[in-house]
Amino acid sequence: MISVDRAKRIIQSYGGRLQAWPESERQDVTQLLLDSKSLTDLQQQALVVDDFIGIAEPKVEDILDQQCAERILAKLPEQQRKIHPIAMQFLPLKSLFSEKFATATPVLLVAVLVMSVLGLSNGLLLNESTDNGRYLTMSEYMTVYVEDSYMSDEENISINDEQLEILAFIEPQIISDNY
Amino acid sequence: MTKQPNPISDEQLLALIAEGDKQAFSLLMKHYLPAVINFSLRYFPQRSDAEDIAQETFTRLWCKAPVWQDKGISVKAWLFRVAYNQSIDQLRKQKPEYLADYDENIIDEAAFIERMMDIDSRLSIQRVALENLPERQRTAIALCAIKGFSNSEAAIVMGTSVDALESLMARGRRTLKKMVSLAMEQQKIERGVVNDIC
Repeated sequence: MISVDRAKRIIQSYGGRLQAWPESERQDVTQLLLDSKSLTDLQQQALVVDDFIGIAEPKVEDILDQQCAERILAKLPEQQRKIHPIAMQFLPLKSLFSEKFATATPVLLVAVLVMSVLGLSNGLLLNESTDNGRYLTMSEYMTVYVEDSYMSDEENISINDEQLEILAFIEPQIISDNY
Repeated sequence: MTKQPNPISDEQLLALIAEGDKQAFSLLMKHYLPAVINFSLRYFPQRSDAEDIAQETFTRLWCKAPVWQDKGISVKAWLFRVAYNQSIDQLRKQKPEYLADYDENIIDEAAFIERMMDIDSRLSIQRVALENLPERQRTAIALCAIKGFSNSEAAIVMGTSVDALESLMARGRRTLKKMVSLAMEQQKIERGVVNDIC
């Protein structure tokens, strides 16, 4: 059962006509009206305003509406169409794939994201021990990577100038380490 | 163009419209066009402006039908929401001061009486009174009290909550009540003047 205050609020907002009240609260307001003089007075005042509002609706001119409808129909543009991924158009089992990919796409995206994060964290973990447990910065990691890959394990392999230039372009620190 | 009950639901019509069925579109328009035009007439005195709003609204529905996504908004609420937004945009272009922030509780009684003295029919007094209401109060009342929208539908159209909608309606009705008293007083004065002359 709603409160008297709520019933007042309903009458003040929706007016005095029962049909105008929210359906779920209609019965409660009707019940409260039977017991409350102040609510009944409020309803009477609201009905005066209802009457005032009620006849304010302008008359619909059928013929003008008809003309307007015809004008709208005559000027209808092209409808928007759903865009399907181009690759799907060429697949023989397009509908089957569309259905599967429609649900699989977010899963695939999440999988790629997780793999990337795992790959990155693995790289960081591998390098954790290289500097007393401290994570390396990207530039330090590059330097260690070059040293590990090209110098430490296989001493006979040296970096040629071209490779070094490429690496130097990535990280200036490598130059100072090698020259 | 008389409004008749729709044997096919709006959603079924929309599905047909999505396939490019102009007959279904025409049927939907027959059902809602007069209401949309009338609704827009609350913002514009010229019928041609209201028709432009209706045209833009229905054309948009036609274009969007194939990509329509059911987001829990009925076709009716969607149409009125588009018409409402279009009307407000148009009003902003035409007279920006009209929608400027101001105290919604203050009504210009002098202006109302002045306008009321120029009109003779009761219907016009009602229209002037409604036109004098702040835009959002007027829209809330028009949707619920005149167009028969449920509170949740009207809230969707106006992009607000049911609570806020109720506040708007309560304030609007309070203002209208004052206007009813003013109109009655004015009529009494006029009758008195006529009796004196006679």
